[in-house]
Amino acid sequence: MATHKHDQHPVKVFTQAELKELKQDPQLCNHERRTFLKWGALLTSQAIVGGGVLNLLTGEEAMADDTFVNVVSWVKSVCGYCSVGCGLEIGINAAGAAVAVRGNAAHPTNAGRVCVKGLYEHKILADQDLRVGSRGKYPMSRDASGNWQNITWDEATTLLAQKIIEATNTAGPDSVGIYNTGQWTIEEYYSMGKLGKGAIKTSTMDSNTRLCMAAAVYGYMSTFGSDGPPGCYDDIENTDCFFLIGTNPAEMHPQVWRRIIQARRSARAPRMIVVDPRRTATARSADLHLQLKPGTNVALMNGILQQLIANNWIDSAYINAHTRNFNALAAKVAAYTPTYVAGITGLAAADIQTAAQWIGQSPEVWSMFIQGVYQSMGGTDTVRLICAMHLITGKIGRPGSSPFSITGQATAMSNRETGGSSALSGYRNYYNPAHIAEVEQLWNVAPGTIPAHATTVITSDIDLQPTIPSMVDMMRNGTLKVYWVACTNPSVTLPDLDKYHDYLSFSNPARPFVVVQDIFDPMESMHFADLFLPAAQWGEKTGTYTCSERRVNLGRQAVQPVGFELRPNYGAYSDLEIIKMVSDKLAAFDFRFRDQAGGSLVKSADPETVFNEWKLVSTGKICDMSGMTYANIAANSGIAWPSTPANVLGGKRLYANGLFNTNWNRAQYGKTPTAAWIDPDGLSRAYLWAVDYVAPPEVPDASYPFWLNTGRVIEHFHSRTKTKRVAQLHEMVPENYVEISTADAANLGVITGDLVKVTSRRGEIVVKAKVTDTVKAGAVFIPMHFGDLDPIDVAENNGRKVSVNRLTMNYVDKDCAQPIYKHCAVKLAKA
Amino acid sequence: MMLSRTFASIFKVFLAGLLLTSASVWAAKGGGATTTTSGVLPGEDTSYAIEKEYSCLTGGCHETNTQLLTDHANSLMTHAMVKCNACHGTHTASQLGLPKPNLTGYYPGIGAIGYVVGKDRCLTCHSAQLLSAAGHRSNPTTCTGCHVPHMFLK
Ligand code: SF4
Repeated sequence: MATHKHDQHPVKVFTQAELKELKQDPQLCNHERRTFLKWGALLTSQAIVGGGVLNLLTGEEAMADDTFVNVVSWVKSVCGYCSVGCGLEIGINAAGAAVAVRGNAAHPTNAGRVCVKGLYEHKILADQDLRVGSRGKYPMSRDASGNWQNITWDEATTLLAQKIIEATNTAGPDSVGIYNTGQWTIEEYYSMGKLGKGAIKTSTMDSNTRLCMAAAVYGYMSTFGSDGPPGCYDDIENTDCFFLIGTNPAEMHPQVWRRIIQARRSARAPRMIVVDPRRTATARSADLHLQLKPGTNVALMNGILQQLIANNWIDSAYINAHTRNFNALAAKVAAYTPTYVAGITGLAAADIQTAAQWIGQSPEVWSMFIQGVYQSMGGTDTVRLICAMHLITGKIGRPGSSPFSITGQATAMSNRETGGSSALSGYRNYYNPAHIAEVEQLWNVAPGTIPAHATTVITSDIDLQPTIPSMVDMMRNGTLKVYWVACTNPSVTLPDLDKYHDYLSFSNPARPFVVVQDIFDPMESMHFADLFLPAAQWGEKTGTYTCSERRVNLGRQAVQPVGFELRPNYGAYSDLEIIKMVSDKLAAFDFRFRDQAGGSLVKSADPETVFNEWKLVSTGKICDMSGMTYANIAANSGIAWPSTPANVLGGKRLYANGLFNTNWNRAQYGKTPTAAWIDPDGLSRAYLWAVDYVAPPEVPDASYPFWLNTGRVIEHFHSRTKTKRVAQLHEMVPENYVEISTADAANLGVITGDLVKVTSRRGEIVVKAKVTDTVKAGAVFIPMHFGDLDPIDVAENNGRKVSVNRLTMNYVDKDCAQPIYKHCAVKLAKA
Repeated sequence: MMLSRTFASIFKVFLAGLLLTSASVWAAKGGGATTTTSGVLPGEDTSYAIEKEYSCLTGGCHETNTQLLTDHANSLMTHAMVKCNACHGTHTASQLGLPKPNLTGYYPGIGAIGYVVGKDRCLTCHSAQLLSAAGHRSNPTTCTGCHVPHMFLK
C-alpha cells in the first residue's frame, strides 16, 4: 500500500521580483485604468485563478468571479450551513461540476436570498475551488511509524468493525463512543441511531449539538414535555415585539435578520429588544439594548417575570387552563425587583421595566434565542424562563407569538428528531419502557436491546462537576475504547482543549482507537485519528434537512461525490453509505449485531427508502413525518412537522390548542412519571419553573481581570473546515483575533493588529488585537472558529496557538451538560 | 535587509491601525448611521458591518472613496450584513499568490484588483424581482444602470 501524499492545490505564486515591483509602486494601490493595465501585465498568468475572471491584459472587464454563463442546469436543494434552511439552486456546468449557487425564489424561507456563506457554497466541493487543502478521497490508517497509508473501504470498515467487536468483548458496548454532528441528513441520523442503539447497543452516543442547543432541548422537554420550537418564521411578520436574547441574527442567521428588518419596516413596526453583552449588529439596531453582564440571563428573566406579574401583564385564564406551578413561580420571582436585578446584571432598573412593559403590553411577542442563552450560566433554566414568559402572558401558539430557539447547524433538528445520537428515535423517552419497546419492535431487535438509559454526554470535567460523567472523562480514565467522530471537529470545538488533546495524545497508552469521518484531508481532528474515512458532503448526496422552524427540506445531489472514479476501493461515500457498510460488516462478523431476522440493522443506503422507514418510526409521535414524501416535500418547498397523511401541511405552529406533551405517555423526558413537569392529572399542561439565579463558576478577579466571550462571524462556519477553504470568505476574516475595548486597549498599550497573549487558568493563545467598542471595558471577545492543529493553519499562524477553546472552561450546564463557552476569566498582555 | 523588513512591517501595522481607527471613528460619527437620502431608516445602524469590513475599507484601499463609503453606509444591504465580499469576492491574497492578507487586509503596494459585479451576482439573490411581472417588465443587461451601486434602497 502506497503512502498517501496530500494533493497540493495549484496556486500561482508571484515571483519575488514581481512582488517587489508591486510594493515599490504606490500607484498600484489606486483603482485607475492605467493601474489595471499595469496589473494586467503582471497578472496574465493569474487569469484562471479564482474562476477565470482576470483578463486585464486585453482590457476586458474583470468580473466578479461567479457568473451563470456556464450553467446548463439548476438543481434545487437547501443550504448546508446554518439552520435557517434557505432554499438554494446549485448551478451545474456541462462537465457536471457545480459552478454557481443562487437562492430559490420560490422558497418561503428566503424568497431567493442567500447569505455570503450560501452563495459561495459550491466552492467547497471540488479541489480546484478550494483555497487550501483538499477533499478526502482515500480511507487511511496509520502504519507502524504513525504515518497515514491508504487502505481500501473494505479494509477500513473491517478494521472499524473489528475494533467495535473487540471493545464490546473486553469492556462492554458502552466503551464504544460515537460522536456525530448537526450536519447530516435525517436518513443518516436515523441510520446511525439504529446502528448505535440497535446493533452496537451503546449508550455512549452524543453529537456536537450538545455544544449547540442542548439547553433548548432540555428547557422545552421539561416545560412542554417535548422538544420542538413551537413557532415558525412567519411569526416574524406577525409580531409586535421581538425579544432577541443571546442571539445575533444579523451575523449568524442572516436570512432571519433580513425578514426581521423587513418586518420592522412594515406598518406594524414591531419593537425590538436585544439582550447581549456585546454591541452586535443586531444590538445596534435595537430599540432597547440590554447589555448585561455575562452569565446573568436567569436574573434578567426573573426580573422580567417579576414585572409582568407585578403589573398584571399576564393572562390568568391561560395560566389556569394550561399551566402548572404558577404560584411557586410568582413567589420565587417576587424578590427579583428591577433594583435587585440591576445589581446583578449591571443594567438600569428602568430598562428592565421597559423591556417587561413592552413584552407585557405588546399583543404579540416573538422571542428568539441561541448560544448567548444556551452557552451561558443557567442555559436550561433561561430557556425554561423564556417559555414561562410566553406561557404566563398566553403568548404562544398563535401567529406572532412564540418562544423560538434557533440552532446553529443545518440539521441539528433532524438529529434531535431521529435519535441520531443522544435521543431515542421519534422524540421518545429513554426512561419509558413502552417507548423503548416500540422502537425495538419497529427495528425487529430483541427486547432489552436498546440501552434503557440516556446517553453519556460528550464532555465534562469530573474535577469541577463530579456527578456528570462524559466521553471526555472516559478518555481520561481509559474506559473509552473506540471513539468514532463523524462530521464534526472536536479538536477545535470542545472546551479546555489542552486537556482533551492530552487525553487523545498518541503518547497516552489509555487512549481510545480514534476514527474520524470527514470531508477534508487534513483537518484538525485527524491529528489524533487512527483511521480516517472520507465522506461525501452537501451537494454530493440526497437527503432531508429539518430547519429551525421544523420545516423538512429536500437536499438534492447535484454532483458526484469527490473521488467517484476511484470507487469501489476508494473515493468519498455518503455518511449513509458508510454507516451501512459498518452495519453490514458488524452483522457479517458477529450475530450479536444482527436484527432478529439475522440481518444488518441498516437496511438500505438509498435515502428515500430510509426516509420511508423513518416515517414509520415517527408515525403518531410528536415529530410525525408520516404525511411527507420526497415528492411532496419538493413540491411544497419543504413541509413542517407534524405532518400526517390527513393533514400534510398542518405543522406550522405547535400548541395552538394549549395542550402540551406533558402526559407520561407523550413526554419525551422524565426518569419517572413523578418528574416535576409530568402532568399528574393527565391534562397536558405546561410546567412553569421557579428557579434562582446562580453566579457563574468563574468570574474576573485580580489575576484574570477580563470576561472572555466567544462566538461567531458571518463568514465562517463552526471550525472552518469548509469556510477557511473558500477564499472569498476566508480573506475577510483570515485569522483569529481578540476584540478589546478602546479603554482597555489604551491601558494595555495595544492597537489593532498587535499580537496579544490571552491567558486563562487553562491555557494560552496569541492572537491579533482588534480595538472596538463592540465589547465593554473589562470584556473581550474571540471567535470560536479557529483551530491550530491543521498544518495549513500552523503555517499561516507561524505556529502560534490561536484556538479560543484552549482558554474556555469545561463546565457544563447542570441539566443538559452544554458547556459554558460564553464566559470565563482571562488576562491579556501585549505579546 | 532585515531592518528594512522590520520597518516595513511596523509601518504597515501603524498605517493599518491608523486607517482602521479613522474608519471606526467615521462610522461612529454617523457614517454608519442614517441620512435623509438613504436606503436605511432612522434606527437602522450599519456601523457594525462597516467595522467588520476593515479588510476592504482600510489600508490605503477603499476608504478614500467617500461616495462609495457614504452609499454603502446608507444601504439596506449593508444593514442586512451584505458586505463587500458577497458581491465582489475578495481580491487580495489568493489572486496575488500570497499566503493570506493580514488582519486588516493591507499590503503596501498591493491593492485591490477591482472587480465589476455582473448581473448574475445580483440574480443570486434577486431573481424573484426580475421574474416578477410587478418588478420588471424588461430584462436589462445590467442592474447598476438603474440601481445605484453600493446603496440599495429596498
Ligand atoms: S442564512 Fe443560513 S441557510 Fe441561509 S444561506 Fe446563509 S448560511 Fe445558508
